[in-house]
Amino acid sequence: MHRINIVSESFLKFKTSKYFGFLVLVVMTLFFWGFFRLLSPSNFGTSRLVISYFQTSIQYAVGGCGLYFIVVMGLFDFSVGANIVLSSLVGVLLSRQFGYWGLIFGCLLCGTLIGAFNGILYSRLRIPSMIVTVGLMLILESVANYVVTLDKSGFPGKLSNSNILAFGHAPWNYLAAGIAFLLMVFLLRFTKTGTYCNAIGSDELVAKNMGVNVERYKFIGFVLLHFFVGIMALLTVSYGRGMLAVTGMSSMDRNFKPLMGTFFGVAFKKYGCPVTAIVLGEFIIIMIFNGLVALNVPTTINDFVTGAVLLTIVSLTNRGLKGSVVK
Amino acid sequence: MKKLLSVILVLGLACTVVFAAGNKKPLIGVSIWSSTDTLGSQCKRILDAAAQALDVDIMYVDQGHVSEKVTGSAETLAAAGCDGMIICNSASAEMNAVINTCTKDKMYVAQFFRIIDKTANPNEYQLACQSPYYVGAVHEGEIDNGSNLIKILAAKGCRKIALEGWNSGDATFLLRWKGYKQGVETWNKAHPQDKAVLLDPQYGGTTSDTGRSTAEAIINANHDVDALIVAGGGGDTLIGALAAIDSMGLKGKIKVVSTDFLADLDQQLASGGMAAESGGHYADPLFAFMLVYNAIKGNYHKPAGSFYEVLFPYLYVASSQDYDAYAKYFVTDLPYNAKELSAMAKLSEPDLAKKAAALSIQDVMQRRK
Repeated sequence: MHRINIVSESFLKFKTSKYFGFLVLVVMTLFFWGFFRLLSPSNFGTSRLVISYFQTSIQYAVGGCGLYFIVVMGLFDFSVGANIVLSSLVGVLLSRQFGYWGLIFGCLLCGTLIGAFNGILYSRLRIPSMIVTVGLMLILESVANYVVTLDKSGFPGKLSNSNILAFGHAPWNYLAAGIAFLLMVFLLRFTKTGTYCNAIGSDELVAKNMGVNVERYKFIGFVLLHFFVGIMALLTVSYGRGMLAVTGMSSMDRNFKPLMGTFFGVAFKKYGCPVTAIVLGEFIIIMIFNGLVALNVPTTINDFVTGAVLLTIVSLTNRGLKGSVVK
Repeated sequence: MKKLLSVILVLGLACTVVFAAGNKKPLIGVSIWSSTDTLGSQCKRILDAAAQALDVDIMYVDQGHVSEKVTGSAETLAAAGCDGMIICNSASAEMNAVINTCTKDKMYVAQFFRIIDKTANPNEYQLACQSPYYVGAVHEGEIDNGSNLIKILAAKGCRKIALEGWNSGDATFLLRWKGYKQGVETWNKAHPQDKAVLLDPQYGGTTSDTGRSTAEAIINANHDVDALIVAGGGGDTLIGALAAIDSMGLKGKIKVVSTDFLADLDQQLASGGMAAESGGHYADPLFAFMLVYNAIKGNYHKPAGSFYEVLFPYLYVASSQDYDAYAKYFVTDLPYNAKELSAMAKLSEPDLAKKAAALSIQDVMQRRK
C-alpha cells in the first residue's frame, strides 16, 4: 500500500513536471507525423520532407514567441500582420542601398519602433488592446502602402537582388530563428520581464499590489512582441522574396498562424516549456497542411481541419476545472 | 470673435462646395484586388495616364479579392461620390450586390479582367443586362489562354502538370482551369500513347510567402511533376512558387508557366526559371475605363437587354527575344500615349472594341514609327 502511494505520488509529480510537457508534445508530433505517413507513405514525412516542413514553420514560431509576451498577460495585438508587412517593406527598401544591413536592421528596427509606439498608445489611451491595435493595423497598412511608392527600383517590395536571399533558406534562417528562440528562453527564465509577464497574466491586481509596475511591463511586452515580429518579417520577406502591401485589414490574415503557436505555448505554460510548445505547435500545423496536400485535400478544407485540430489540442491540454470562470 | 470665425468657416466651406460642384470633374473609382502588386501596379500606371489625359479624377479601393470587400468597395466608391467605377471582382456572385449598389446610386460600372458567365451565373447575367448602369465587361479568352499554355508545356515534354491557383471559386481561375483541362484532353486525344495528366489545384493566395509554401507542399507531395502552372493571382504567387522551385534545387527541371508577366520575366526566361508566360494584358482595365467614361459623358448607350463585351488579347512570351520586344513598348513605355488616349475616348464602342482586339507588340511598333 505504502509502495503504491509512493508510485502514484511520483506519477503525479511527473505529470506536472516539464518532462511530461515535453513528452506530450513529442507524442503529439509523432502522432500527426505517423497518421499522415501511414495514409500517404510515398509523399509525406520522409526525412527530407520533414526538414522542409520545419523550415516553413520556423518563421511562424518566431512570431508566436513574440505574441506569447502579451497573450500571457491577457492582451492582444491585431497589428502584428500589418507590422510584418511594413517592416518587410522597410527592410526591402533599405536593402537597395545597404544590402544585408539594410534588410536586417530595417526589419528589426521598424518592428521594435512599432512595438514601442503600440505600447505608448495603449498605455496613454487606456482602452482595450484589441481596439487600439485594430486602429493601428489600419494606420500601419496605409504607411506600408506609402513605403512601397518610395521604392523606385522597378520591383517595389521585391527582393530582386539574389545576393541577399540568405535568410530564405538554411542555414541562415535556422540561425535567425534559433537566436530568437534562445532569446525567448532567456527572457522567460532568467529575467524579471518573463517572471512579471507571467505574474501579470496570473493576477494583475495581485502583481500590482506586490509592487510590479504593470504598465511598464505591458509596454515592454509590446516592444518585445514587435521585436520578434521584426525577426519574423525578415524571415517571411526572405522566404517569399518579397512582400505585398495590402489594405482593408487584409494583413490580419498574417496574425493567425503565429497566434496558433502562441496558444500551444500558453497551453503548455504550466509545464514550463512554452517555447518548445510554440515551435512544435507550429511544426504540427505545417505538417497537417502538407499532409492534407499529400492526400490531395483542397486547401479550403485544410483551414477547417487545422482549426479543428488546434481547438482539440488546446481544449484537451488546457481545459479549465468544472465551474471555473473562463475568460 | 468665435462667432465671426464660425461664420467665415461656414462661408468658406459653402464656397468650396459650390465651386467643386460647378467645376466637377468626372470621378471614376477602381475596385481592384491590389494596386501595388506586379499586375495591379501596371494597371494603375495606365489608368492614371488615362485619367490625366482625359482630366478625370480617379480613386482606388484594394479589396484583395475578398468577397465582402469586393461588394463593399462598390458602396465605398458610391459613398465617395464616384460617377462610375470599374471592378475586378473575384466570384461572379459578388456582381449581384455590386450591380444593385450601382443601380441604386446611379453609378456606372464595367468589369475588367472578368465577364459574367451567362450559363454559370444566369441571375447575375440577367441583372447586368437589365441594369442601365452596368455598361459592360472587358475580358480575355481565358479558356483559350489555358489551352495554349498546356499546348506549350506538352510540346516541351511535360506530362505531369501541377496546378496552383490563388483563390478558390475565382471566376477567372475557373475559366483558365477549364482551358487547362481542355488542353490536356485535346493533347491526350491526339497522343493516346503519350498522355499528359493535370493534377487538381491547390490555392496559394495572392502573396509570395503563401505562394511559396503551397508550391513546396504541391511539389513535396508530387515529386515526379515536371511542370507547374501558376494560374495567376497578380504575380506575387508566381514569385513565391519560383522561390520554392529555386530553393528546392529544381530550377529548369520543373517547367513553370503562368499568366501575368513578371517584372523580371526576361531573366527568368533566360535562366530557365520560366518556360512561358501569357500576359501583357494590363491595358484591359483601360478599355473598361473608357466604357465607363463615355457612359458618364452620355456618349455610349448600352444596347437594351444587353451590355458591351470587349475581348482583349493575351500576349505570349516564351523566350528572351519575345520579351525584349514586349519590354520596349509595354514596360519602359506605355502602349498608348496621352494623344492616343484622348483620341481613344472619342471612339465609338465598336471602334473601341476593335482597338482593344488589335493591341499587340506589332500594333504599338506601327504607331511609334
